[in-house]
Amino acid sequence: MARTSTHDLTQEARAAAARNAGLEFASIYNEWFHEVERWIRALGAPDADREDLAQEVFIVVRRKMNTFDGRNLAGWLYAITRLTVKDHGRRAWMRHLFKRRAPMPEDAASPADTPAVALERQEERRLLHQILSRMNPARRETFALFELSGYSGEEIAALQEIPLNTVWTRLHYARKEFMTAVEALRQRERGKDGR
Amino acid sequence: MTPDLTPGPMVRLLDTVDPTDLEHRATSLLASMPDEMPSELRKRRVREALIARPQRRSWGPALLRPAAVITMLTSSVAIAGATVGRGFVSRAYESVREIFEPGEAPKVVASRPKHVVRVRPEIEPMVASAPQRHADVPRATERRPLRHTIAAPPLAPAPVVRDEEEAALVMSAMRALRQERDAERAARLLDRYLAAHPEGALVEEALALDLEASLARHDDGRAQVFARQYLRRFPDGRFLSLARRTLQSTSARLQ
Repeated sequence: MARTSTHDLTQEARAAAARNAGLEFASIYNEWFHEVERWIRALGAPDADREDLAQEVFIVVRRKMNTFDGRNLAGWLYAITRLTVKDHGRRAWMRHLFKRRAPMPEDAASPADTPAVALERQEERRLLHQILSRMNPARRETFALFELSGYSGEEIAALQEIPLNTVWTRLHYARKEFMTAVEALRQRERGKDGR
Repeated sequence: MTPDLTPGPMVRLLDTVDPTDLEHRATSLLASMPDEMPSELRKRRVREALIARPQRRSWGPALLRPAAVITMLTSSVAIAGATVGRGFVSRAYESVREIFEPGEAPKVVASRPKHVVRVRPEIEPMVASAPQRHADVPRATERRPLRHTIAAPPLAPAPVVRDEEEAALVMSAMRALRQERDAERAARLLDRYLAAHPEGALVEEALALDLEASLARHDDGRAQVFARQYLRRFPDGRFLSLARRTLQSTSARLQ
C-alpha cells in the first residue's frame, strides 16, 4: 500500500485518505481485474495488448492509490483505464506510422469454427472495427459499453461520471451513427452482389 | 411547456425483438464480437508481473526523453547552420579566389603585418636613443605574466612593401588585367614594376600576373619565359601549378 504523508495534506485530501484507508491494492485487483479487462475490450484495444494494458492500468492504480478520493472506485478505475487505452492507441498509431502496418483486430475464431465461418467472423469483426473507429469517440465509448459489454445505462453513468440522460442521449446518437454506417455498408454489399 | 426531448432508456440491439433487415445486419456485426470469459490465468500472470515490477516510478527515462529531444534538435540546427554557413563561406571564398588567383587554389600563407611603420633614415638614430615614456614610473599593479601561454608558430619574415608605388603598380596591373581586360596595359605596368623593383616584395605576384597577361595575349613565348623565371625564383611559390601548367601547355603548342 502506498504510504500517505498527512502533515502537508489539505483538509479535503485528509478526508479522502481517511475514506481510502480501508482500501487495499490487492483487494481492488482481485475484485476489479476482469472488469478492467472488459472496459479495455470495450474501449477498442486489440486483444493481443489487453494483458499489457491491464498491467499498465494497475501500475497506475498502485501509484495513485493515495490520491484517490474514495468516492467512486469504478469511475476512478474506468478513467484510468480509458486514459491508458488512449495512450496506448497513440503509441500504436506511432508504431503504425513507422512500420506501415495497419493495426488489425485479432481473429478470435473459436476452434470449433470451420475455416469458412472463421473467415466470415473475422471479416465481420473487421467491418465492425472499421465502423466503430469512424464514430465520435465519446459516443463510441458509451455505445460499446452498452451494446458490446452489456452494461446498463445506470452503470455507464456511474463509470463515466455523467448524468444518466447524457448516457441515453449519447446512445441515441451513437446508434443513429452506427445504423447509418451499417446502411452504407449494406448498399456497398448490394452493389457488389449486383442487386 | 416545452416537451422533454431527451431520449429515454433503450434496449440493446442484440435484444431487439423482431428486428428489421437493417437491425439484423447491425446485430450480425455486433455478434461477431464474441463474449469472452474472464481468464484466471491471465489475472495471475498480470499479478505476478506487477509484483516483479518496482513500485516507485523511475523518473530517469521520463526526464531523459526531453533532454534527448532537445539535444537532437540543437544538433540538427547546428549542423544545418554549419552547412549553410559553409556554403556561404565557400561561395565568398570562391569569388575572392577568382579575383586574385584564377585557376589556382590559394595556400595559407603567413599574414603580413597590416601597418608598417616606416622610419626615415635621418631620424632613425634619434628614435632609437629616445627614452621610453614613463619608463621610470612604477606601475600601480604589476602586470602578471600569463600562466598558460601558447607559443605562436613561427611566421616567415613578412616581406615589407618599401614603397607605395610598388603596390600601386601591381594593383593597377591587376585591375587592367582582371577588370578592364587590357592585357597589353597590364603587361606594360608589370614590366615597369619588375624593372624598377627586381627584388620587390610583390615580385612573385607580378611574375604570375605577367604570365597571365601573356596568356591572355596568346603570347606563348613570353608566357614560357615568365613561367621559367617564376619556377626558378619561387620553386615553392603559391602559383607553382599555374607556372607548370603554362609551361606544359605552351611547350605543346610551340612544338
